[in-house]
Amino acid sequence: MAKPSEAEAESYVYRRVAPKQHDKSGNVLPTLFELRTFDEVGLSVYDASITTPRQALQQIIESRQNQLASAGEEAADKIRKLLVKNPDVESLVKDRWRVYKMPVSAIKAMGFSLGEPDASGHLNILGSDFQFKEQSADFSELQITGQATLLSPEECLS
Amino acid sequence: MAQYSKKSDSAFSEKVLVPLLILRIAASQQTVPDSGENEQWFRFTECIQYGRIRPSIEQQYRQDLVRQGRGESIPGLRELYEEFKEIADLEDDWNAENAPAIDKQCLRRAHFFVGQLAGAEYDLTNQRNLPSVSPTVDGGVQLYWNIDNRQLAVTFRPNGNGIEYLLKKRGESAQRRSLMLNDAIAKVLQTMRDA
Repeated sequence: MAKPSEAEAESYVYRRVAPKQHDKSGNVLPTLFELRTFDEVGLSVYDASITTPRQALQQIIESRQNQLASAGEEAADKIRKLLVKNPDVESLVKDRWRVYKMPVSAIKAMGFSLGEPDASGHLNILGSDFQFKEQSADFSELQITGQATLLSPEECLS
Repeated sequence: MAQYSKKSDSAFSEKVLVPLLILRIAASQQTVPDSGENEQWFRFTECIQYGRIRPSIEQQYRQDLVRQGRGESIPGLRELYEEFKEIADLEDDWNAENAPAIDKQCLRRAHFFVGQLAGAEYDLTNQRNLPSVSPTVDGGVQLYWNIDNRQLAVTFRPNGNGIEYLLKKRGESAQRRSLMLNDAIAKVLQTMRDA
């Protein structure tokens, strides 16, 4: 396994965690690290040097607001309901949305590469659907071994 | 060459060929698992399927409850059923990354699976044995255990008949394979015993 450089050892990415993607004991579940379809580019994360945990969660609300403009009537109704339910980051965190903080060096050591972040700090961990399924438990093991952390509600609001 | 009447042909078919055919079909429907699991696997299949080995009174009671749709009265299973209900209520885009709502067939299969576990020799009153229930981003359901130095996941995918089994020991590569129901249950029982 390649030894990470000093700069890499200090780099982290954030992965947003939906309520049912972590258990009641605070463990992230391997399903958090799977791609929805085989043609997806990669796993969505945020560069921790650009984005705060709060901003990563705020993106959920902004993305839904943007979808609303182009959605059909039925889809728009669903989005409106979600926006009413979770109008801000505080309500997301109250509903058990969290942020998982992972070191870039560990992700690279697992054989993945990372794309370039955009202005908002969003980037992808690049890999195939198969690769993520094979290594989903490696990602959750990062928390078990203390390399990665599921941020507390307070940390998610920072 | 011996001559057989139609009557004796028919008797031969009934007494020899038909039972042989039945045995052959029964054998083809079973998959022999990896070596080392045979004892466990046969014990499970015989106990549950054929009743050749009588289960304990407690096991039998739990099996009856599950069969009668009263599994909720089994401690531990009630909590799991609650988790299933929460997952069933998820709508499209529940993860803010376009994940679909959970496939009802997957939920039924996962529900059936934990019922079978509860009806076997599996103690769901022990918190350690209770899996986490999680939706998958493709609309499936995953049962997950994190015990000592190993992670175990059993996943039910939409449009898939097999059950995806994943075992990850710390520091080692994960083993992932597709299994049929009985084999998956036997694997979970085996893994929990080994842990």
